[in-house]
Amino acid sequence: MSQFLQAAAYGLVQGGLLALVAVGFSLVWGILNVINLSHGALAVTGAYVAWLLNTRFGLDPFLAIPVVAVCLFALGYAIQRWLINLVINAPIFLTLLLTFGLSLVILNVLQLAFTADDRSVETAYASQSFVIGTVNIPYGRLAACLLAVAITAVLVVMMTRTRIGRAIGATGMDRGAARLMGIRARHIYALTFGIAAALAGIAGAMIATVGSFNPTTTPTQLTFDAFVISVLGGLGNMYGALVGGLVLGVAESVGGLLLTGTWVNAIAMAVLIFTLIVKPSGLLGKAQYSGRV
Amino acid sequence: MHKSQSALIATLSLAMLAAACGGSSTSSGGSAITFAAPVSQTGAFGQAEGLYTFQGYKFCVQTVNSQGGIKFGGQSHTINLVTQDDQSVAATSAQIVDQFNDQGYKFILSPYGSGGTTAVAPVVERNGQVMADSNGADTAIFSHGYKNTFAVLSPSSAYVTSIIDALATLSPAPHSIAIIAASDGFSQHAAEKGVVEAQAKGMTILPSATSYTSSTKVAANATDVSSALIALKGSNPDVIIIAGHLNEAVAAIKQSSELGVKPKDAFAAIVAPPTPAFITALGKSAEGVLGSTQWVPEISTSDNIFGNAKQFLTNFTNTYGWSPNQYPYQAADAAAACEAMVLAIEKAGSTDPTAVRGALAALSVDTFYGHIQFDSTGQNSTKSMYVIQVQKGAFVTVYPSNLATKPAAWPAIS
Amino acid sequence: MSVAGATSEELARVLHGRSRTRRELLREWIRSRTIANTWPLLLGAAGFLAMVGLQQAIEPGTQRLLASVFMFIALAQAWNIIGGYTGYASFGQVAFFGLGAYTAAVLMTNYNVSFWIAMPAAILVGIVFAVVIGVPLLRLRGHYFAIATLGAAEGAKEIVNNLTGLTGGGSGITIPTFGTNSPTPYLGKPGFYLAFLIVAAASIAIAAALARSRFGYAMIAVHQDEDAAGSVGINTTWVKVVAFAASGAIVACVGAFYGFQQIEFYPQDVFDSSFTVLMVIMVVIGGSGTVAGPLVGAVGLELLSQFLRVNLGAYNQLIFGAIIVAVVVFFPQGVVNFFRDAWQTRHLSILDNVRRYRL
Repeated sequence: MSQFLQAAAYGLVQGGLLALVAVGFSLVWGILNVINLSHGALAVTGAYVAWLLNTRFGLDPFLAIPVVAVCLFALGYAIQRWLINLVINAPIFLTLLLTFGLSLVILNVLQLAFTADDRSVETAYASQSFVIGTVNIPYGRLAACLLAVAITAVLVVMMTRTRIGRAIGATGMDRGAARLMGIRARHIYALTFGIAAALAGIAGAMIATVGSFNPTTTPTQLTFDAFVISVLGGLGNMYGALVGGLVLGVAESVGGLLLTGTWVNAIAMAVLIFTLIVKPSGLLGKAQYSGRV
Repeated sequence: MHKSQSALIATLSLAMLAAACGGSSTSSGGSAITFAAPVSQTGAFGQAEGLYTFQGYKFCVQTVNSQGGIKFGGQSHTINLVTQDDQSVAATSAQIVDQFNDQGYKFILSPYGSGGTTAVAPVVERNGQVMADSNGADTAIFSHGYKNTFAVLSPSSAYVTSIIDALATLSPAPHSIAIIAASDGFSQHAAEKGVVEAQAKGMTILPSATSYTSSTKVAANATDVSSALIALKGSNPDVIIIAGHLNEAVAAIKQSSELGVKPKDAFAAIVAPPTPAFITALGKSAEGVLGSTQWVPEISTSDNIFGNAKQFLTNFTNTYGWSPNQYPYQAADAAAACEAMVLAIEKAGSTDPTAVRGALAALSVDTFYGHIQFDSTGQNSTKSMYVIQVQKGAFVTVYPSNLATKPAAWPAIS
Repeated sequence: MSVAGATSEELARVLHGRSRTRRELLREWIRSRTIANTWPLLLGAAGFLAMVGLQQAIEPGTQRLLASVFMFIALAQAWNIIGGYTGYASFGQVAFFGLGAYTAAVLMTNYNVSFWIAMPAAILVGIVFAVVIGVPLLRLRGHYFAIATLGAAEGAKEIVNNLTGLTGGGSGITIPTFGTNSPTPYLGKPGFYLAFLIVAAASIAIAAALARSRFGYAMIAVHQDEDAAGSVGINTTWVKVVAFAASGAIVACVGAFYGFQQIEFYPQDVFDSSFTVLMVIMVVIGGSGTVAGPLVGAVGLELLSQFLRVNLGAYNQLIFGAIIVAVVVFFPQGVVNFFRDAWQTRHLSILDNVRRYRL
């Protein structure tokens, strides 16, 4: 029983971290209708930035978050404005291919610069945990989970209360109409992608702190998890990624306990396919997004 | 003055001519012999294990060539090392070795890892090439009846058993161990043999003797082993052994403190701890971790090419910039494989693959790497494995006791 | 012909929508062949014979390289059937590849079945799997279908990975090719060259036949406007599932040959998602919805990636990625389509191409 509770608790905080990875991916997909296969690569870039800041300047990763966010925002803005915007009207697999090619470029640059070795950021507290009964809750992942909740809340506020946020939402709903209203779609798209990249970078910094990362296997795993969570949680709703992440985290953790650890990916797959067949719009998604081609 | 100048020039030219003709060693130069190897320069093993293996091969070829090359039949032949990047993909290694055969390269040095070696072995067999295996330890490779592959390293069955033997010599000896094993054949086989050895030494396996195939089994190269650790929660093993590669070991050590599943005495792992990448990934958390290794610089055997183990370590780390406290043992494996090929060719006295194959099968020699001799399946069962412990960021040999430089820090976890 | 003088046989024929017998139709078709409408067939036959002849002139290493080019031609053609013509971009075709490879390997290793029986079995498995996952998943569209098929592929891999008793799981599977255990002698590099060449030729022929048939028009109709297609009486589910199954069958067949060629492989080798990616890239860069497009794409990209791997070592993936980005930006409709349009409109401008899809 205590193993089950531990699995559930760990799955929750694990899920929070996964949600942080997915929220940017979900944003880009919902607003731009672009599936960004380089999302994992951007996250790992953020991880390397955090790692560099930590090893060169001794900066704590949580304090490095603003720097990581700004760097990745700039990178994301540039990518969208001058690269992805060029094929945004093309059939879906062209943007998929473009982002795939981009991810190859980013990852290989990282590999050439930093080698394929696993890296992580050492902190005194991230792996420590506090105990409730027999259940250990690690500080690092809990902080990432809380950060995910906070960021989602901030995003919701931004999307509904600020002008920029509403412009983004409008462009996502109907680009033509938004342009007619005077919204500069190219800039808004680039802004959205930049925000998503910044979120990916923050997620990467967190992953560097609580786990380890490398430029070969980590990005694929992250992009894949982001896919599943976005579908599970649904598009068009900022809380979708959060809910999707938590559900997936718990499902994987408890599932790994009941079956062996090697079934974890299969569980994610089963969740994904089940959601797609039963409720394609996801747990919280808006129905208008489910028919998107 | 023209006469004396021309006389001077004539004398000098004559002297140079004489030097060129008579100045070389007693043997005259023969044709170059090619050693061909698929190496992992990019991909998962790109900058770590693949690099160590590549450097080992290069170092061996450079050293042998600087001593005049391979000598037989009164001639010395320089070694020409030909490599191609296999991107750490097993199928690509096989394709490369096939292409090597088309170019007439019959002497193959293995790629890094059991996966690549498993894919290359049938190709080598089919083409009549000869392969010296440096880093593919999975005994499954040698269960198909291949005759042309010879592994210098100890097989997978020794990886966990050597750790168990080392643990049994410590005091207080641990009573219970847990094994987290990755799902690939090499790790599972190592774990299986380790369980047998542990039970023979009177240790209990937690949570059960077969859990390395179920509840404590993790996906190969997994970065999240929480399911295995949660399965161990509450059972309090004395030692947790991770049978896998770098990723699983790093993940297990980091997540164990997150989940509050720490062993009472120490962590141990195979393959990963005796590599520089392990220390880079874990930093201070690597302290006290035990690891089994194929080679340590304290062994006493030596040979004419590299000297003894200490000399190999010094020369190798000086050439490639590694710290002598954090040496990659895979480079020693690689150099030993290359050396075995050299010795076999010298012994056979020819470059005919069948003759060299026969010479390898009959080889029995002491080297800087230990004793190299192959059994009927092609594995080197005459060499044992050793155990090191990470102390203050350095690899310290702790088992067997006659080679140990310092006592093991025990218990390693306070 | 008048209704009054018609025999019951002729009446039956007319009610089925045919005005002439099949034999008359065939004779008419043969008589109507001219160079203008036969040249693709002649070119294909000539190309095939040229490749067979080429085999004598090149060394085994190059034969292996060309065998992999042929393999990708077949894979690209197969993807084009479901992705290019029908418009359902499947990101899980590698599932069929892996299932084909494992079916052949398991039958040959565990049951000592000859490869020539195992390979048709693999095709059958591919068709069954396509129908089983196609019926529920083909109801989704666009991105969702892509991800769902991706999920199915990963799921297939995990299942194969965990059926350790049957497939060897993470320890891999080895087809016995030596000694008395081996059910079929190893084909060798020349044998596999020929085998992959035949599979590639067959896939081109199937794709061409499908494209020009009524079924092909139905596929294109489903692609362009599925609801309209349904409303003119096309059974869209039937069309989609058959296209998916055809694609899956070809990929499974290729997978079986690949497994035999490799002899020893692990789940992640034959369920590697980079196969899917390469398939998609080759079709899109060549030009989707055409027969020549995947051919051009497969040949070009495979030769390019081999060249890069051999000559540029550490940078090859980087340059490959950059080339993908460049081609997607400059030739979004595919190279073959671009040149065909340029030829027809007598207007060649790459810059216009870039502006075509931009925001």
